Amino acid sequence: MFADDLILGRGQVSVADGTLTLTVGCRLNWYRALPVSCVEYLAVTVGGIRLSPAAVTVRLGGQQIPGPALTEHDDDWWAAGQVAWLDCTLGKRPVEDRYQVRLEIGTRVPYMGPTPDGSWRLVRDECTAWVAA
Amino acid sequence: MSAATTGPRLGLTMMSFAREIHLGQWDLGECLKQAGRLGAGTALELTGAQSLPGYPALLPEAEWTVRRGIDVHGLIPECYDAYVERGRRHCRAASLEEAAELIETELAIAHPLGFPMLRLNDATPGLLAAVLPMAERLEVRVVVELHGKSIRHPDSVRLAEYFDAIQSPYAGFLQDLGAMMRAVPRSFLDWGRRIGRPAEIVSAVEQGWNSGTPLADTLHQVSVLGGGDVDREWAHGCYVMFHHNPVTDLALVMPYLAHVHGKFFGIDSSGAEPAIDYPAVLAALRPGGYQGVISSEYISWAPADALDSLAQVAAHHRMVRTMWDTAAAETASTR
Repeated sequence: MFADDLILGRGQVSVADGTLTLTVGCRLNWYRALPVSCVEYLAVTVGGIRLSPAAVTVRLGGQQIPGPALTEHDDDWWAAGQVAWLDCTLGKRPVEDRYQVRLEIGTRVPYMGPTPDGSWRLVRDECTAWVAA
Repeated sequence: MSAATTGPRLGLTMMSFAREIHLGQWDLGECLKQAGRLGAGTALELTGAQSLPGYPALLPEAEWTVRRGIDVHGLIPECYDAYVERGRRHCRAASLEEAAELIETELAIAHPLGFPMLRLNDATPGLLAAVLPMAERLEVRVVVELHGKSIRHPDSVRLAEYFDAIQSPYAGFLQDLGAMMRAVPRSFLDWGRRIGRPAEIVSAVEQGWNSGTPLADTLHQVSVLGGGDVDREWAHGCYVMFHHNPVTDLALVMPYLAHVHGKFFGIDSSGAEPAIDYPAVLAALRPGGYQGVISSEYISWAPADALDSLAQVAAHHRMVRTMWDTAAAETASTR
């Protein structure tokens, strides 16, 4: 339902010690609030280069959560329409006017399961957008 | 725009405004204001997890916004939507007792907001037995939605038997009309193409669903056509959201029916919803003596710059009212 609106068109870049960080706003790919731990994976590709999970930090509701630690946050919630800011460490790269960003997100639907193998249904979405810095 | 004065009471679920909520265009207060434009007496249904800032807590300001919105815009709180979410915690499914605690928390939100009904997406007799004492004390009716599971599904049969056994006025079914569809909505297919699903895969999924092809076979066909995980996910979503059960099932549901989700996906230029046989649905509800609410639930895939959710809900109300009156006239003419 929301795959074409997950990424905000306006981002921000910052440079510290020669390392470029692109900050991208994104929304949850579900129609209502879910615990942050329902985000089973979140992968970001910038300019065709897929970032390691550790290169992405999620800022949401006053918290800074390393990408690999999202599933540890059972008691923090991501609301419908709430924008999370993804700080994406790009390394030593030149500043550009805009960046092509691809977001892949897989979200556990907490009422669709468990299946006999103990798993839960994941809603997977992909979104690619140009983000102006 | 005005609420119906004859026939079933009409209302809407806030799910109808999901696109506006997701895009941050409408907050809770604005959603209530827009709902009020449908006319005084419009029945209100909302999902706490979608509409209430601060969920799963009920913040005082959220409570105030809902109660004030209901008063100012002449809405009638009808149904609060909750989910039995056993998977809220990563890698651990909630026990029955923990699931019951989640539902009791939802009851404790629905009640002060003035909702006399709480909908669950699914439930077992055991879960209902655990939460009904609190529901009865609060005088909130707990209804289980029939959508993915039809009234003929063994789990639903067990629930009906349980309802027969307990004879409680605080239990029942909610029928979602997405359970009784006859075609994949055009808007869903348009959206699939817009977000990059190949045209031949979109066609295959449409043909597969419309012809009653099992999901596994349609997924195989998607793979044969070169589809990847996201294509299969899209196809899977089609089968999760849309179901083929016959409208005649309503006769089985009627003794327990408390509420109806008037699911729809886009009223066309002729004023009809092609994906659901609404004339047949209303012709079945009317002689069955349905006295509850038909809560319009618009599922929109409209582009962000072309949202039309309120107009769609208003059009759905007009369609239901017209068809209900037509069914009434036909009944009168046959007497």
